[in-house]
Amino acid sequence: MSDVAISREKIPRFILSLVLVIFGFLALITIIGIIIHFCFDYIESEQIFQLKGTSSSLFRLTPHVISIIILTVALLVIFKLINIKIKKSDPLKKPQGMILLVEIFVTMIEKFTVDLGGEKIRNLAPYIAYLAVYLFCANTFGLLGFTPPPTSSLSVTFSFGLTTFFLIRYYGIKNNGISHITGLLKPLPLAPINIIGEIAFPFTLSLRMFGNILSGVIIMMLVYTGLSGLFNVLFSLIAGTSSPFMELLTPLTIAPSLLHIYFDLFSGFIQTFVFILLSSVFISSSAN
Amino acid sequence: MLDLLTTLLTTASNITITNKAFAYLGAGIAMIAGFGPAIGQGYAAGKGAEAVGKQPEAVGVIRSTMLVGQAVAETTGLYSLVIAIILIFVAK
Repeated sequence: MSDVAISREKIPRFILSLVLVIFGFLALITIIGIIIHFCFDYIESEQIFQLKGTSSSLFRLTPHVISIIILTVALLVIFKLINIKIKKSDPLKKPQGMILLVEIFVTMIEKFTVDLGGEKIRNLAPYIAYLAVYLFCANTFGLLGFTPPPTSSLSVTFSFGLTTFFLIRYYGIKNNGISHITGLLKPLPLAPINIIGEIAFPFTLSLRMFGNILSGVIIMMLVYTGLSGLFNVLFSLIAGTSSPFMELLTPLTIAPSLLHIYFDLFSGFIQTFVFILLSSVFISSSAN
Repeated sequence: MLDLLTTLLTTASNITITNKAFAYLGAGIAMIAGFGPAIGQGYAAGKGAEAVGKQPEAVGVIRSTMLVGQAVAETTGLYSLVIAIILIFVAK
């Protein structure tokens, strides 16, 4: 009886803490959204849809290039700091804090890789770990206010797809020799289909992630534009004049925060997982 | 072919019809592909619910497998989305 009473007492407290956590999370995202609106007036100023460069200059700094440079430099600095910290730490003591997290992550990635492909691709684990870290940080990059995320550019995802393609060929030839190439011609009438299927792999891998992230970016831009337009209309109805500051109210309607949770966190995590899963599965199937 | 169609339609009606109009039309037609992944994802979700009914203790593994399968099945829909985006924003 007493157990039931205690658990019944616990339920409201649990729900209260859950509600507090959710509201804290939403408030945090809302505050970040307001800061984003103060810092970057990105709805008008940035051309997200510029798939094809219109300028003749090859090295133009598009918003994508700026986000790629920021993310790469930030990751390099963080990795170097962690490296210095690990080198300074005593290997005989219990790992703590950041080092413990890094150790758990590295062990997890190595277990993931070896479970999928055996001992032959154990030395692939750093590549998988880099893919996981880079792609997840790139997909959730929009939450920090840097738009557009680097993975909404086809060049980023396609370069990762191409790297995986060359790794598949490398591991196949290293482990199976010339039969890796001649195996494509095995039923001779089906040889063109086999070759096209192999060549299409980097395209499917990169287009999947690119399409997912780009659709998220477009929908978020539509929501922000629509909400700010709505606030402008309401303000001009009430006050009779338009105000540029009405856009700052957009994050206060919780809709952008909820959509950010889905499109940036959930979709970004799932796509990262699918990318590293397919990469390691295809590399291990060519290695074995 | 497209130029001929454009001039024909422009002369037949009084409205000016450009190639961009056909690009928008093509984008709309391309997004019909969206119903394939929808069926596939729904099927996967149904099978996932069935599997949870059979083995409620394996719910975590089933959920992650279902989500990964759905994310892979989404690919064809994303192709059509990319084609539609290219037609709308890049094609002239």
